[in-house]
Amino acid sequence: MTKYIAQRLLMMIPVMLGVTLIVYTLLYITPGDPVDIILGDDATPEAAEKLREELGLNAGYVERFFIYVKKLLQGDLGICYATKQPVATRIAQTFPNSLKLAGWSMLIATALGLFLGIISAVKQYSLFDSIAMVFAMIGNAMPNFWQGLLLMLLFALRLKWLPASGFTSWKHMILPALTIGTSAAAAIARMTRSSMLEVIRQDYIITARAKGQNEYKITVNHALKNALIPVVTTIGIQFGRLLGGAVLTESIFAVPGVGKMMVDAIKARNHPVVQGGVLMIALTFSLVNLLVDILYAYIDPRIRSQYK
Amino acid sequence: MKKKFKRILTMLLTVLLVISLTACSNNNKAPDQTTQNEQEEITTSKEVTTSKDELIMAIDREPISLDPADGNVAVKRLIESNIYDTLLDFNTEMEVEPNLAESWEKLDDLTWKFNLRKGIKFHNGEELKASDVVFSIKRQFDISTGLGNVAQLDPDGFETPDDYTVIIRTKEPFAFVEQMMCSPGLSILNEKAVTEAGVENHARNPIGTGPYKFAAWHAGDRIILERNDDHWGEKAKIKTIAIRIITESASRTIDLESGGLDMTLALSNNDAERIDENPETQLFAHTSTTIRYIAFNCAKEKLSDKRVRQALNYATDKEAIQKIVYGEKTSVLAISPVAPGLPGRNEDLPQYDYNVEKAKQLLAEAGYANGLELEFMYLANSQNNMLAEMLQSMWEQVGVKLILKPTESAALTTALNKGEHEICVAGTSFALNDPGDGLHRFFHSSTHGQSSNRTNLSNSEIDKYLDEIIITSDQQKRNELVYKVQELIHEESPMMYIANPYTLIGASSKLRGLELKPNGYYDLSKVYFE
Repeated sequence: MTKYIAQRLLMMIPVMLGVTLIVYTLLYITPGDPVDIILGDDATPEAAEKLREELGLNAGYVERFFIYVKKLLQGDLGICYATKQPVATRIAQTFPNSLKLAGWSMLIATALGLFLGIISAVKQYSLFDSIAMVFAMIGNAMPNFWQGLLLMLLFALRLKWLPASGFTSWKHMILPALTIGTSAAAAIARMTRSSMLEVIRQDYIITARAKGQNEYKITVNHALKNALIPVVTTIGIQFGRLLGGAVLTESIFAVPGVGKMMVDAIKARNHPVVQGGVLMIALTFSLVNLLVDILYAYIDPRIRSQYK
Repeated sequence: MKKKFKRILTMLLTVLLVISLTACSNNNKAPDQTTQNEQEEITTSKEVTTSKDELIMAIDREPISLDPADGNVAVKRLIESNIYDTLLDFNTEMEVEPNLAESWEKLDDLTWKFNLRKGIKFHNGEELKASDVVFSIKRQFDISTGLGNVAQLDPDGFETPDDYTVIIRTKEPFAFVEQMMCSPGLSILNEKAVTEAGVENHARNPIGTGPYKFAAWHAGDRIILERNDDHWGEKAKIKTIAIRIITESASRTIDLESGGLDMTLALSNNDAERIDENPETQLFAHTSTTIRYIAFNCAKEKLSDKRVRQALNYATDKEAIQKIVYGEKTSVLAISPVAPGLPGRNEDLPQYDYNVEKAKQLLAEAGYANGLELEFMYLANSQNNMLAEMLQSMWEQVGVKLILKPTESAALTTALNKGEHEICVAGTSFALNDPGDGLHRFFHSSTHGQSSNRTNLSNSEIDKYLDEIIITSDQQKRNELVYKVQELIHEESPMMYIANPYTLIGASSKLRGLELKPNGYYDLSKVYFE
């Protein structure tokens, strides 16, 4: 198992390098000069040229890439064009907020998704199943920004129970976590239901029933456990996605997270922040995937035996 | 088997819980955040609305720094103008009045003398000296993001005969030295504070002499200012100002309506009426020195003929666009390249009234009887989309096929600075409150490629007038020149003026004392709650 984890960690190096090259190339060919944004109104072409030289933007494609990779290997993600702070500092400022939001959202999503998915499968074609699946469909179909604004209008403007935006107390976290949590719950519920339905039709479940095992034990001990692999994959993907910043939700609720930082950086052509941010997201996603793979081994003895 | 399964489930939930709790225990602190007054700054919206000694306001973007020499962006200038002071200042009538300098005089065409008030203290306790003034202005020459206008000053022309007197010289006669000294870009810094902290650290922990002291900066979230109880002038009425960064316009408005904010800038004109009608909120709508216009790039072949530009002007129902796009109650129809209320504005210009036949005739004379194809580049947002569609449909009537090129912000700025556009929509303001300075930046051929000049007009007669304006100190004579040059510019039709939009601010109905200046700035120290 340790060997497997070490191999997976080593495999991340080429992935990170690949991501770096792709992001660097995309930023290089994207129109828009960061200097124009930094200088603002009334900047002269001379001042723009001076700043371009200061930021090292006059070097060629290959030269700039190798300078960046060399610094990256030394642990230097570069300096933010706008705030002049190290990119690592900017990520350290924003990542905890995205992590906090993702954590609470996934707690809501997992609890709600598993509950709805399991009951819907067990009570297939019941009223509960229909309502739960309509909820899941709406959750999947409704854009987050729209859902966020509706929740804001209801709970902040009409009822005045919760603050509309910000991220300084637990009250501020409820609306964004609900916005993201319900849409992720929809995906988890649908996956849990379909996976459970597949499992509860298996012969061994019928055997368990024939032996007189009670329904609760059949559902939880026999069915859910075997249905869990695709569900864990879905949870992992959703969590990894959220750690990269729920861009729209963060913008609507003014959450100072990675997603909002990245959007602002892209708009301002703040290349080092975009590159550093994407690397961070890629790394987090890879680590979450690794965690999911390790969880498979714990859930399914057949997979565990392959690692030995 | 059962036990093992329970263990797995427990582990799954524990992983999620640990992540959430770990993240929550993080306390939202970032490595560089200032720790001063930390206890006070972590407040919820609920707590804020019950406290009348704290103003919570929202801005639409985060400033890159609070160094006056770090670029000219409006929201940054607003915060800076409350932390720092300038030598002179505009009052609400936009007249120049004393500030850090209690008096000043023009010694000759090139030389100005400023006498500083004595005993003014910076937030770090240091006394303001003439050397601080020289330091604050001279550093702008070496910084690429510095205020463009300092190029008019002579870098070797500074003198400090004593600690409270500053002599400043210009390279050539320059009419706007007093106005320039009111610009937040030339705010006065403490040399010792900048040198000791380093430029970059000072930019995020600024020290000034203003009515508010910088207290904390929570990156991406809020900036906190605290009242400077030792301010040399009138003390600020509110103790703490929390400036929140909320990029979404709809979120700012909902937060104001729900009581989470006391004030929001950059209110969209769609929300203005709702804020005005809501008994719990109020709308501040003030005429500004801003002008919204359609710029014709005169350097492009098809638009180099003034008859084509005039034809497009005739082919446009500008009043309809002003009312629909910029709002009947939130803007006024622009009739001159100079904003309303500014000295020397020519309100007698013969307007290009909507006249399809006249437009067709001018296009035919210019050789485009069978029509022509033009490109319109604009920032993709709902307001500009509406504008683009209106222009497209109006110009179709005269045989002009308008190709729409909605563009993302950064790419658009770069393309416009390179002069790649044929037609674009732009907005600019007369920051120094003198039309002469603005017109020079918009139309003089030496400013091609600058963000203020989107028309790239080259007209030697207009250049001659503009050159004379910026060296004419006599206000009356300058007004006459400004009046005349507007006629020449209007005849050339390098731009089609559409609207002078109001500065729109939404606030709680209990907020008082907000006096907006036409240049978009206002003094937060005078704001209080009823």
